[in-house]
Parts: sequence; C-alpha cells; structure tokens
Amino acid sequence: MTSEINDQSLRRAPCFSHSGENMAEKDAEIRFKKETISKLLSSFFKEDKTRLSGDAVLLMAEMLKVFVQEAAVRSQKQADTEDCDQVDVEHFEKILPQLLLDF
Amino acid sequence: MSVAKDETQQRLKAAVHYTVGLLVQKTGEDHHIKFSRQVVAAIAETAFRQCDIFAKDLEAFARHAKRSTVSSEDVKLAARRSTALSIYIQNKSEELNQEQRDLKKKSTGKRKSRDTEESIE
Repeated sequence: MTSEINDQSLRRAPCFSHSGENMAEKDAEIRFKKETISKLLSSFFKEDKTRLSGDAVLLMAEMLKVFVQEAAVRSQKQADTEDCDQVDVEHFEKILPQLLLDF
Repeated sequence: MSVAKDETQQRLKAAVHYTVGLLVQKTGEDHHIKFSRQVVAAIAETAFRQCDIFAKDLEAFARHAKRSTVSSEDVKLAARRSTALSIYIQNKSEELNQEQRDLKKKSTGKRKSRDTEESIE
C-alpha cells in the first residue's frame, strides 16, 4: 500500500475559493460545516480556555475531508484488487493501519 | 461524562457521519462501486476518533507556542507527517489568506470610491 497520500484525492478536490459563490451549481463541493468542526474540536480540548481561529477551523475541515476521501479511495482500491463489487468493512480494516500512520 | 455532554457528542457524531456518508457516496459514484453501510459507519467512527487526536495535538502545539488560540500554523504542524498533505494544507492556507486580502482590498476600494463620489457631489 502506498505510504504517501494518493495524489488523486488531492487533485480531485476542487478549488476552495470558488465553491462559496456557486452554491446553486449542481456539483457543489461536499465539506464539513464550520460549526461542526469548531464544536467537535472544542469538545476534545483538555482546557476550556483554548480557542480556535477561523482559519484553523477551515483548514481542519479540509484536513478531515482529505482523511475521509483517503479512507474511501484506499478501501475502494482494496476491494478492487480483491475483485469485489462492494466495498466492505474487511477492506477498510486492511487499509486502516497505514491510513492512521499517514495522518 | 454528564448527560448533556454525552448528547452533544452523539449529535456531533451524527453530523460527522452525515458528511462522511456524502463524501463516501461521491467516491463510490466516481469509481462505480458501492460502499456498504458498515464501511461508512466505520470511516465515520475513525474520523471522529482521529479528530480527538488532532484536537489534543493542536492544543499542545498552541500551548507550546505560548498561545491559547489554535492558529493555522498549528494545523500546518499537525499535517507534517505526510509531504503531500502538508503541501496541500499550506496551499489552502495561502488561498485563505489571499481571499482575506482580496476582501480587505475590495472593502477599502469601495470606501475610497464612495469617498471620491461624495467629494465630487
């Protein structure tokens, strides 16, 4: 399995700056909501006084999206090499160790 | 853990699960393959736990820099383990900065033009 992040999933991610304006477009980019990430990270902080900057939240949303896309693409590849027509947990389990090492 | 905190945690998990579902479905469509519901749940759970690790890292980075606010620099540091991801996050950060600079320029530019209009009147 590749140790580097697959180029494909990064290249597939469309440009960030345009998507905000083209919400009506059919191919609107799927991404995590800013509030979700903000609340999620804040809930995991050990100290209550730790705050998050707006840029940091947006970048974390992007990072988590790449993480999920990587998980999906690697699982799909694993299923493909095993000639399965559906991606199942066993495929994800096989790529999980390397995925966690890469992030 | 208190009941209220437990409930917000469940809601957050559901929110993550929803977006993961959409992202995975998109990947499935792109590659013409179906993902079982269990895979989606497993990826969502992994992403949720990965968030815990990320959050603790970010907090530690900010504290190390003697800050109480997590900045984009901390996120860049969190993405250091993979070169491609690191470069990708740095580019995104620059894009965000550029956007903010453009917005500032626009607002000051508008104000200037308004000022000149008023002075002409």
